[in-house]
Amino acid sequence: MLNITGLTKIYGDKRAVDKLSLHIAPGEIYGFIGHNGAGKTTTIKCCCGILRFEEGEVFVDGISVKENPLECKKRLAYIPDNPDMYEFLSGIAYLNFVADIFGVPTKEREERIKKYADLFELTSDLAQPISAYSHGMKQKLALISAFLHEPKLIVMDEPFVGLDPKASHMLKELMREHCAKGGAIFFSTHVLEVAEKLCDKVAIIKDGKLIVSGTMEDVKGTSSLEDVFLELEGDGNV
Amino acid sequence: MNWKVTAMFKALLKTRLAAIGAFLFLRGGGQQNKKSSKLKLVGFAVLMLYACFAFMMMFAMYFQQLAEPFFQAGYGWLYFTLFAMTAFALMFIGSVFTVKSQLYEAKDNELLLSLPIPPRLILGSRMIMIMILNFVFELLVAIPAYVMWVRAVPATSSQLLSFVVLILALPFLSVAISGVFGWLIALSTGRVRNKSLMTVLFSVIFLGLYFVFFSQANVYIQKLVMNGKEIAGSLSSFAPLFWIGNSVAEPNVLQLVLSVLIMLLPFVLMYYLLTVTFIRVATAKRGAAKVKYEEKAMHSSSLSSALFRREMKHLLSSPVYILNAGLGVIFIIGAAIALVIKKDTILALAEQMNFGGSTASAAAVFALCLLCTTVLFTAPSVSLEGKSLWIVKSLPIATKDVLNAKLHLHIYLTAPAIFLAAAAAIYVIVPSILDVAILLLAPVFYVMLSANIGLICNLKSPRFDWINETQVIKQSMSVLMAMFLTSLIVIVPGVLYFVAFGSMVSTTIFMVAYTLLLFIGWFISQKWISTRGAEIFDGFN
Repeated sequence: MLNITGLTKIYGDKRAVDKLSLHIAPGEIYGFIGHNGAGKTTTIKCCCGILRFEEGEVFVDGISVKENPLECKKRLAYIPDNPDMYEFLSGIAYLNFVADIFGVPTKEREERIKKYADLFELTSDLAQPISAYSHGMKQKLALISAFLHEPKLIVMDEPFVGLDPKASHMLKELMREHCAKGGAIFFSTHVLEVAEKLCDKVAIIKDGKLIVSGTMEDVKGTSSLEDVFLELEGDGNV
Repeated sequence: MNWKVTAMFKALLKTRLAAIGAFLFLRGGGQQNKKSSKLKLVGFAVLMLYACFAFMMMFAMYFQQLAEPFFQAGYGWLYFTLFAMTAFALMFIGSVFTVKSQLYEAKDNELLLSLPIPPRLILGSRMIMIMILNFVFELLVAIPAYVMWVRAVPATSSQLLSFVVLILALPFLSVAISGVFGWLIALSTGRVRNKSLMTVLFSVIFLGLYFVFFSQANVYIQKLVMNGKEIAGSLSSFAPLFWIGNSVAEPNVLQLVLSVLIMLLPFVLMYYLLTVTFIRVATAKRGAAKVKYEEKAMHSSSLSSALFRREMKHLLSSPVYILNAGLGVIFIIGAAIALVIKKDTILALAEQMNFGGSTASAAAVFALCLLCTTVLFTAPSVSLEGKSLWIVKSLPIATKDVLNAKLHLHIYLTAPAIFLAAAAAIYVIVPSILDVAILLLAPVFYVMLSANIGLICNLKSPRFDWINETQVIKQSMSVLMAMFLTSLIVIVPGVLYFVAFGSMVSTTIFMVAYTLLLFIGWFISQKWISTRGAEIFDGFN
């Protein structure tokens, strides 16, 4: 579903992402871990066609992000780490806008908005302007807008930040449900316990370079993901 | 003040100055080279000087007519009282909404209050910036007023000294009064559901008063000159107004001290009151009552309609955007109505100026295009994406569609108004068929071209890291550049025609050429936007 080969992104003299390759298959939840400034957000933005990159290729459902970004974007949903949304719109107007962009038929959009807004307990707040939303409410709205058009791939940057425990639980359920239907999820997180329990595969990035990737069992073995991460982070050679 | 407090205060001032500086001269997309930065600095300085010069000329004409008659009649004090009142009005109107946004609704109020900074310093740093803004406004009146006085009257050094003291003290009164009004506006607009409408209403009232005053300025001046004695009599009965004027005209230390006290005391009182209530005022929840969502049937629309609606909703949600970018549309409609109502006066004026046939329609074209220079919807529109830029970048939307929606907002709102005004001009002038075509086409092409110019300026000079959208709507380089360039493409051909070519080339040929040039300019700029412009937008992150 998402194929990254030799991705390199350079800012001035700095190689923010350096020859990174990953493959995320349909049905997989793929965790992306790294310290602050390791290159996670840059990688994610390159995958979604938000950032241009110098070298390498990114394919979404077999389509090149470089060659055909619009077709790729039709197949994916992106949720940033800090969902700054249009404060001049109400929650429902924003969802309607996203549904219009993806051409979601009226009946489906009504059903899906009701389903996901009820799940995240945001229904009663949908008429409120987004400017009145808390960080968590914005995060929930971004999640609803992501699931609204039933994308094949969902790319999320720190999706659990700001969510209350119930919403976090609901998100995990939805992530599993999405993958069970053949979709794929690629997300970054600092919450290693969540990654350990939720992900089928995991990749650890340091200074723009991929340190390790593979199934959760392959990466952590008998240790915890936290131990493995700290060990790799502390090892200057990796 | 101990060194810690001084350092804090300096840091706060630096932050505010840095924010303004960064805003005016740097790009939002990343770093830029020094050469480009310097060029922008020079460009900005030229634009500011031009704007200041235009304002000062306007006030110079006003005071030129008053200086000598008032001096001769022994009403020198009235001259300086009128200066103080004019300067106060300009400072008040120019800063009351800045006071509202900077003092009471600044987004970093809570952040600063969480730091170990005494509220009085936060308040003080903000007030100094407002004071500087007021002082700049005041100088636009003070310099021409004093120059016109000195030209007409043998001025003394003690007069100059008193005048300097007066201009240093006057901004304190203006800040105090606009502080109170800003608070009232923030309070009343914060409690209502339709905040934008209320703010627009307040602004239109203020601006309406301002324009009524200036449109009638000549009448007032004549009345002032003719009835100086009566006016002096009625104003002198209110002693403070007499002291303020007389402290400069007939330098008198006691009156000067009293005048300064009149200006300082309200400020001190307001500063004290704000200091003790600042935390409560700055953190007050002014939100309107919560509206519960009720499920309704939804309607789908096309991608282009959705994008256009997004632009429209952004505009309608922002009084600052409406007032600064769109007030011109109201002017244009007002001009159309005025043309019909004042038909006879306008025709008489045209006859007086020997504007007949094609010349009258050429003058109408330039006048209509000049009115359109006050419409600047596209100039801040890219910057207004702000931190939400990721949305259009991550959704499957072609960049040209995003940019076209911005252009359409400008064109769909301005073109019908200008078409109406052109129709009114046709009704008044009754030109030839060819002139009718020019009158209908040239302003519409101008609207399309100016939309493109605004967008290009913003693509070249965007700013995404704003805290308050006022910064990009009112103070950004792209808006200033767009204003300058769109004025240039009316003023230069207009001056060329009326000064040079009018007697050499047939008016119709000149205007056909102008219309064609506007169309060609639009065509080329449209090409640029859909190719290079789209590339630039794609590069933003």
